[in-house]
Amino acid sequence: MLRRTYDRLGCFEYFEGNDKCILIKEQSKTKVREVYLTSKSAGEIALSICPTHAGIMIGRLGKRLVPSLQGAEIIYQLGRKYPFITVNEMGEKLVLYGRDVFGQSITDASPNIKASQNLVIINSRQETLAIGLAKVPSQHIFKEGSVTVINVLDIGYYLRFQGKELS
Amino acid sequence: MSVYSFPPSTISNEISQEFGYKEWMVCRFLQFIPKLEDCLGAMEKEPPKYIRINTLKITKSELIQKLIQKDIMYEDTILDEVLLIKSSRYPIGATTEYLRGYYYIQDLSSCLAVDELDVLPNQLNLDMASAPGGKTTYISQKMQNSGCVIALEPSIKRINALRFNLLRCGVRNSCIYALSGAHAGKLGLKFDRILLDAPCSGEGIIAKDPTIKTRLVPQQIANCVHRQIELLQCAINIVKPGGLIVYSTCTFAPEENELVINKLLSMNNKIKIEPQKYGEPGLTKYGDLILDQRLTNTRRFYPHLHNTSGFFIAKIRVISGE
Repeated sequence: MLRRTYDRLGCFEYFEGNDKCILIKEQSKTKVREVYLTSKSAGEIALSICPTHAGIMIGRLGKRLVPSLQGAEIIYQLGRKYPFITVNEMGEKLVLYGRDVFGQSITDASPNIKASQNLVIINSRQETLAIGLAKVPSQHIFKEGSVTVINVLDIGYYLRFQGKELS
Repeated sequence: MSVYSFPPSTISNEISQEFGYKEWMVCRFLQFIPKLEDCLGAMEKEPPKYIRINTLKITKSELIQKLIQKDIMYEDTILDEVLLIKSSRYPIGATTEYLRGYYYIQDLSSCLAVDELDVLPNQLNLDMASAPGGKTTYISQKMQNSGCVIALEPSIKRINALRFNLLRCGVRNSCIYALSGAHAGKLGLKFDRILLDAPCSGEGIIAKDPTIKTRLVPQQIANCVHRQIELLQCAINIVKPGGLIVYSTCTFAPEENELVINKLLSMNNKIKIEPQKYGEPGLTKYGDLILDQRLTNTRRFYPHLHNTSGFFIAKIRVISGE
């Protein structure tokens, strides 16, 4: 399933490349399966001595892979097949404060976004700021005066939550 | 190990009054800190802000371009990847570049400790007291995300901070264990390099926490020493023959610095102290106490001489058995 996901997203060579290891950890209480990207050595050690955390958590595996913020960033930067919106400077500031995205802040978007689809929110320099959830499809995503993309998780979350673990 | 005290004098009384320290601290500082008033004066000012470029995510020239665009003025330092921030319109810890992990706010002295560790790609390395992750991320950066760096941190709350910083900086060659450094032997691994940035009394970071001037008591120093010796002996036991340990603290107290190394030299005949590039030589005399001459290879850093936090670094090589 993971390999099919990588292939579909155009990042197969990266995740299957040298010195990379993919680990899957099932949380005993919640049964949620987390997918981690590590170096080969770190992966070997993690398999023999189970750590609290290893490498980068790139997503959660249910019926399909739901990328984390870091996973979405890797996939977007590599494959560019991941849906995205680009926000202007004001939109960037609001996103980094944890706010949702208004249509007028969006300067560009993937053409085939569907409502309730996951996407990455990037700035004008192609830098990933957040993962978001489209409230509306592409044709309505630029609508002024409305929140058209929900900010699910942005890179500023830690500073706001002061290190508390997020579910 | 006891904490040494020294008799008060007119000078110690004047200095403690001027700078707001407990006099017993000043009496001790007068024994070994050169130009003490300059040092304490430097710690009254806001500490210098350094950033370390995270080359896992960006090159130095690319980051400099971004800093210039944001009107952030900087200067180069003795380490190529570390910049001194001279002025900034924005809080340096709240920029998009910081949140994206392009740099880490980290004192130059901390970076020097990692630099002395002489880390190479594909090694198995250990950071015994890892949180919040400044040195761990630097180790990973020098390893180019290869091999493995084991990061230990017993506090769950601090693990969250550690994890955030590792994620932010794009570190994928790490394994975090909720374990005290004293129990690192339980992992059953032997390491090429070990960094022990030991918990200490923090005298060297009074500029960041002025309450240390009045709340520190000698018993706290004694407690730290006991722990530091335990941690360092553990490190010596689990490093590979020929491997390297860097022991560092952010305190001036010789009891936590040279005397700890002195103790370990007397307990272990298979270690040697290697010379370092920067800093003041460590003490070989403290009051009436004559210490091992090999301690001249340890290094002290002072705010007024080196423009860093107060810091101590010892570079310990475990001699190969062959």
